[in-house]
Parts: sequence; C-alpha cells; structure tokens
Amino acid sequence: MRTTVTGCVLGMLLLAGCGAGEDGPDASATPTPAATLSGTPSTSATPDAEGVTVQVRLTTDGPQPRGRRVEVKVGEPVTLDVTSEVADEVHVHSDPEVSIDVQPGDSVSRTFTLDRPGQVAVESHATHATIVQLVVRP
Amino acid sequence: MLDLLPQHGVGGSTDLPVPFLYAVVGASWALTVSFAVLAFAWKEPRLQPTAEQPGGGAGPGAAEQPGGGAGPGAAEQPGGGAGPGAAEDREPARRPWLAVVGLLLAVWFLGALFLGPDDASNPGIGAFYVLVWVGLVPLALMAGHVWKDLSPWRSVQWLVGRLAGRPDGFLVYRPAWGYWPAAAGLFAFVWLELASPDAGSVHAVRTWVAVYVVVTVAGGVVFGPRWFDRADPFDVYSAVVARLAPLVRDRRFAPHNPLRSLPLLPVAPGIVAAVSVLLGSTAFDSFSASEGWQSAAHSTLTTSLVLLLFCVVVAVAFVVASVATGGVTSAQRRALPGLMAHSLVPIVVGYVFAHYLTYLVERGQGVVIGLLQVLGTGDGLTVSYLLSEHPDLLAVYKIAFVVAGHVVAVVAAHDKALEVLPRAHRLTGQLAMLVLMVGYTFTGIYLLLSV
Repeated sequence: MRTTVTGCVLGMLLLAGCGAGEDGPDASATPTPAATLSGTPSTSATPDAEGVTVQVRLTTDGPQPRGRRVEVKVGEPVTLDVTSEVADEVHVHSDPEVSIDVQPGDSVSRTFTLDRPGQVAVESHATHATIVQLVVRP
Repeated sequence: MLDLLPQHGVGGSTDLPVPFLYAVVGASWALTVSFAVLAFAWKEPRLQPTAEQPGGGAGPGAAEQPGGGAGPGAAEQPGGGAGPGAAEDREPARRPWLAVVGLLLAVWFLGALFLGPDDASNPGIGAFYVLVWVGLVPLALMAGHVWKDLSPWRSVQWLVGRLAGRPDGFLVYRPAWGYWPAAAGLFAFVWLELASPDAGSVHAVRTWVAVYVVVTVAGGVVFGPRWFDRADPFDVYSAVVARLAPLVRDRRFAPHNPLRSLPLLPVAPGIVAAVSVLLGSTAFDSFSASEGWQSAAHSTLTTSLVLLLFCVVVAVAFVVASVATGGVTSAQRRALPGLMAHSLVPIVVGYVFAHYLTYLVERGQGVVIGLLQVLGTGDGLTVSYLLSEHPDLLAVYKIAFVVAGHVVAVVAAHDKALEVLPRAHRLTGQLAMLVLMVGYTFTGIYLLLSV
C-alpha cells in the first residue's frame, strides 16, 4: 500500500492530478505573491536535480495532503509550496527545524535541504496533523 | 531547539524503515530458533530458581506437582519464604549516596520542567520523555534496579515514615491489588505520550508529572515501600527490566545468567497487564506513524481506544496462549499467565531498544545539552548523529535487538513451561505460546519494515 500511495504522491507531483477532486485544479497554479524567505518560487514539480516540490493546502478541514510519504535524497532541495485558508504554522521536524508561518490567503514557498537519512514529519501546528512524511534516503 | 512532535511526545526525525531483506533474515532466524528450542532444547527445567532457595522444598520432583511447595500459590504470598516474590523482600537496603544522587537529579529535572520556559523549548519535556522513560530501560539492563536506590519518592517516604514512626506506612498494601496500579500508571504515561491531544506541550507534561508525584508520594506514605514495588509505574518498569540485567543481581554487582534471574519476577495480579501495556503501546507507536493512520483525522477518544485495544490484544493473546494446555486443574490454569509473564519481558526490551535507541542516543544528547544550559553550562556542545548517518547499521541492530529479545523470551518460556506444565503436555502445552511469540516478533518486524 505504501508503494502505491507513494507512487500516487509522485504522480501528483508530476501531474498535480492525484485526488484532483479535492485539491482543485488551480492548487498548483496559485501565484506566490508572499515573500519567499529562502529559495525560489517553484516552477517545476519534478523530482529531478532541482529537488522535490510538495504542494500543500491548509484548509479549514485540515491539510491536503495528509500523512503522505515523499521520498527525498539527503542534500536534495525540498520545496514546500504552502497555500493556506487558515492561520497556521507548518513545522518541518528536522534539525534545525524549519517553520513556515501562514495567514489566511497566503501562498508561501520555502526550500530547504535535509542533511541526514531518516524520516522527517512536516506537520500542521494548529491541527497536529502530519501533512507529509519526508523519507530521506542516503 | 527541542521542538517535540505533539502527537508523539518523543518527536523529531525518526528512523527509516528497515530494508526488506534485513526483515526477512531476522524473521527467519526468529522462526528457526523458536522451533529449534522446542524440538532440541533441554527437556527438564534448568533455569528455575527453586534449587537455590532453601525452604522451598522444590526439587525437580516437586516441580512436577504444580500444587506443591513451589506452585503458583506460594508465589503470591509475601513472606512465604519460597516463592519468587520472596527475593524482593530480601534485597539489600537502599544506598544513601544513590538516594542523594536521585534527589539531585529530581531537583534538576523538575526544576527545569516547572521553572523553565513555558513552551516546547523546555528541556524538562525531553528529560521526561527521553531520559526518564526511554533511558530507564538501558539503565536497568546495565545497572539493575538502581531506580530503587535513586527514587526520590522512596526517599521522601523513608523520611516521612521515620518522622511519623511508621516506616512501613499506615495501611497494608493488599496482595490482591498486585501490579494493577502500576499497569494503570503505565497506561496513563503511554496515553499522555501517544494519545493525548498535545503530548509535547509543557502544560500537559507538568500536569501529568504533578499528579504522578502526588499520587506516588501519598501512596508511598500510606502503604509503605510496597507501594513503589507494585504501584509506581517507573519503579515497576525498572524492576521488571532489571530481572534481565546480566551483571547485577538484587542491586549488587554479581555477573550471572540473566535467564536465571528473569523467572524471579514477582508473580502478582496485574503483571500481565503491566507488561502488555509496555509491548502494546510500543507497537501502537509504530502503527500510529503509518501512512494509513496519519492520512485521516482521529479524535482523542478514538486514538485512546485504539491504544487501549493494542494493549488489550497483547494481553488477551498472551493469557489465551499461556493457558492453552491440557492436564491442569482450573486453579492451575488460572495461575499460568502470571507464571509465564516474565517471558514477555525480553520481547518488550528488545522491541523498545529497536524502536527507541536512536531516539534515546540522539535526542538524548540534545536534552542533556538543554539541561546543562539550565545550569548555565553546556554551550558549544553539539549532537552527534552517528547512528542516523549509518542507516544500514541501524537496520542491523534494530532487527538484532528484536530477534535477540525473541530468542531469550522463547527460551525463558520453554524452561518455565517444563516446570509448570504436566509431564504429558510439556511440548504441546507450550506450542501456543511459541506461536504467539513468533506472532509478536513478526508484527514487530513488520512494523519496523513498513513504518
């Protein structure tokens, strides 16, 4: 089951089509007017040399996606594109921790790298829900 | 610096799943060793403590009669002189210098927790979840039940008891209560850690610790030291694991075969429940990190009930497997789960090491640094991530711990079964337990593989 859902995540990254009924077709097309604190606005959702990009939507019903596994490599840039309808903080439980504050209507993009193998949870602070679990392989 | 995952209590990054090949090799060893023990190991009990206990009157002959001198009845009577419980009362006195160390540590940790920052950066949270809860296991395994010496609550009870002229408390702790209060306390801890709404919040930890201290100290003053032996969850956890310590016996340095001290675990009501909470909660911790569980929202009530279900399933399966034999009376059958309970301990310890060792070593360093900073020192220290940086090594030791725990458990159960089961049912009577242990271990390996 894990493999298939991971495949689904990768498919979503490539096509932004997985679970399109919930995500809405414009989720990945949302412009990013908010200042990006580090890194660049994502232009590609392809897990290639430029790294992995994960689209995150924070809604009143909780985050989308929720609990998904995303495979990344040590040192590979990981970009979170966060679109939020609610005030929340997205916590990346790495060391050092990455924290993204969002207000309703914000679209924020943040890029970081992970230095060690392991699993790093990306969590919505307000709901305590795990948005994605970054599976960091050597 | 220390931001703990609220859902986890003990958060931060976690280990990668173990590779499939490692899991298969580990599972194969577990299965092979299990049936090899059943088929080829000794056919008379070898590890039971009866021969060492004068007055027990329980030679090999008596061992065949479960109703005899060393039967289940004797074990439950404190002061009976012969049962496994007797060893607990004959232990040497607490060591004052360790009691002082324990008091200083308690002041340090509790001071950090209650006087430190009011947010998740408070190092007292990590001290509680990482150093105390997880660190307790390797401490007991290496140094025995040193917790009894360190326990500040025992020291307070000792002092109050002396001042009041009632060193053994005001009321008698009833044997029938057994380990049930400890089982409840252990469940209260794992509930806080794994099922409560905000386990990583300093408020939740402060509340839990405050209630724990009040209950433990009050119970100790009222019921005397027996309270700590039976009702303090941390003390009981340490005492249970310490039966496996190879270098320490009765809290003194005495290298020995831990398979001989393991059966000395006191048999009292609730022991199966207490050990099952430890195993069931660790399994739930893995399970709750799975994609399937995380991908949906769960209320606190649902989470709590599923956690409870894990513990209950472990316990019920164990009880059923331990009574699945022929040729015993119903009274003997009822005594069997308690008599076999010690054999679950190695599975718990192996699984706890597999599940939490990286966490203890790596998060623990961060916690210690945070605690040192409370004292105004420790700046410039950094955490070594040696284990995380070698995921293959990590996978090997995780599987090795689970399989080693399984093997010790199977041998312990085999030997006990030879003692307590009627001769005609010695092999068939332990088959269900063997299958169950394989089941526990396969489940553990499956969780390490998939989460």
